[in-house]
Amino acid sequence: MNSDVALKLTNVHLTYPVRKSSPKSVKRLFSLFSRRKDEITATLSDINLEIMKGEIIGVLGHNGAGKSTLLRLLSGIYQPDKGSVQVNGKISLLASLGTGFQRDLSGRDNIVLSGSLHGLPIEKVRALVPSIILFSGLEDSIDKPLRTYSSGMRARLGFSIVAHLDPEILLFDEVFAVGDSSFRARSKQRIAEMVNGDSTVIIVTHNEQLIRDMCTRVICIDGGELVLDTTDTELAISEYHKNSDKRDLK
Amino acid sequence: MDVYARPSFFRGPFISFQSILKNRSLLSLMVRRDLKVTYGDYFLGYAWTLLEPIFFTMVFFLVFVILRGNPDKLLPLNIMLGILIFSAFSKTVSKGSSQLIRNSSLIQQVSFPRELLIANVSGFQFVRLLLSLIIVPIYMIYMGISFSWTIVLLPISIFGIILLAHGFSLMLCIIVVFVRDMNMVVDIGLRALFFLSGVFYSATYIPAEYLDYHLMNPVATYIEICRGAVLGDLSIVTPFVILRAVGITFLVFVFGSSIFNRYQNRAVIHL
Repeated sequence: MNSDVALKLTNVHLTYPVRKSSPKSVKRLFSLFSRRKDEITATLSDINLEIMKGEIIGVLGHNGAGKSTLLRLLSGIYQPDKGSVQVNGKISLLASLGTGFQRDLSGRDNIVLSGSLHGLPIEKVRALVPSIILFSGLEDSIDKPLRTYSSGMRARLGFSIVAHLDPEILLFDEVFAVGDSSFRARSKQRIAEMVNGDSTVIIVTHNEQLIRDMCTRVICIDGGELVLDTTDTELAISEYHKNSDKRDLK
Repeated sequence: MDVYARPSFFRGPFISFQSILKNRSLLSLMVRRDLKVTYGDYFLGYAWTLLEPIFFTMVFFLVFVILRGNPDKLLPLNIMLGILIFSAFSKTVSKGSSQLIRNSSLIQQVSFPRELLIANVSGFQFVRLLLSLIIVPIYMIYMGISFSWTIVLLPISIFGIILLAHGFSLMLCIIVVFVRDMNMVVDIGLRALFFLSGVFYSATYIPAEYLDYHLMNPVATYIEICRGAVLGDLSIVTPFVILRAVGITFLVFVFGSSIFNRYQNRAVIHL
């Protein structure tokens, strides 16, 4: 793979259940590891995509189109049934805040745990702890158990951790806005810093303005297929609307 | 550069081993977190690791020694060792088999070696077993039972039972994702195994013609190895019996980790 390429998907195919069903007969129990015929599935089919280092890609598509599944494939959470996913660099998926949080541990202990689960060496996370605490603005409650935190405080701590991960490839599954107005402003600034740095960024969002403001290239997904890949953001947004209208008519 | 591709079936044990070795700091952090969360908030803290086996030993002592009038002064110690080894096995399998489902949201959000979730349970139960075993020398000194060279066999019992449970957990946690009813089967199976593994009776009570069948159960063998190691009596656990249990354990681990590595990716999609 060319060293300027951050991510490369070649003929990627993945079938995944949309609604989970449980086996109802003994016969079906024997087909445990194969796909069951009664299962309602969706498919990401024949995805070919090459993303260069430093690109900021927006992913558009209606709910259930396969956007989040694509991000999980890129981050290594899902593996393709067919084809290959090649990754050149450290990758982080930011899909929710407070990953791996343990409510009975203190905020400080949760920083170390969550940071380590995101793939940072423990020593590095420990070195980042003061900066994370400062960014979160939770100095007074950082040694209290997480169960005493409000949901806003938990989200602030979660965002402060992911803001310090410093990955080479950053995947956002819906951009978040948490905390009070001052924290939201700092969050927005930090996201912009991450996006404007050297990182390769892929953003899944329904926020068209965000696509216009940040993305250099947009891909549209519909029914598990990559229907458009363009640097013209307006074209991508209008294609997204067309697909949504078709879907509404159906 | 990472290329995500499906691993081959027989590379499972090597992948598991390498992954745990590479992420040992994270695993150690997860085990310490569980110890802190489990015992940190209690007034008696880690003393509960001793109080639980003592309590159950007292119950069995009441039933078998006092009410039934068994004169064997070693019976309470035999029962205690049986409980310690069996509960390490049963808790590891019971919690390990549902680890993927219990951590489904974490698994769907972060890419990390999922075998760590199972190893976390096994590691926690390993530490818990070691802490619980502190009661054994205290009881032996109190009862005037002397230590024998056979104590060197104790690690075989401790490592063996945890590795056996770890192998079963790796296999079962995948099956449970596809068939949730398997949780109930595991629960019933563990209860049946409790009565079949000689937890509250020593293998010396088993008729000679059935003894070999009894010891084909590796859990029963590890309990007897533990008893033999502590009490200095290896008349039941011959080298052949020990090697057979270790061999079965190794096979269960290899098969379990192969199943886990081959099917974990499909299981994750179904979480």
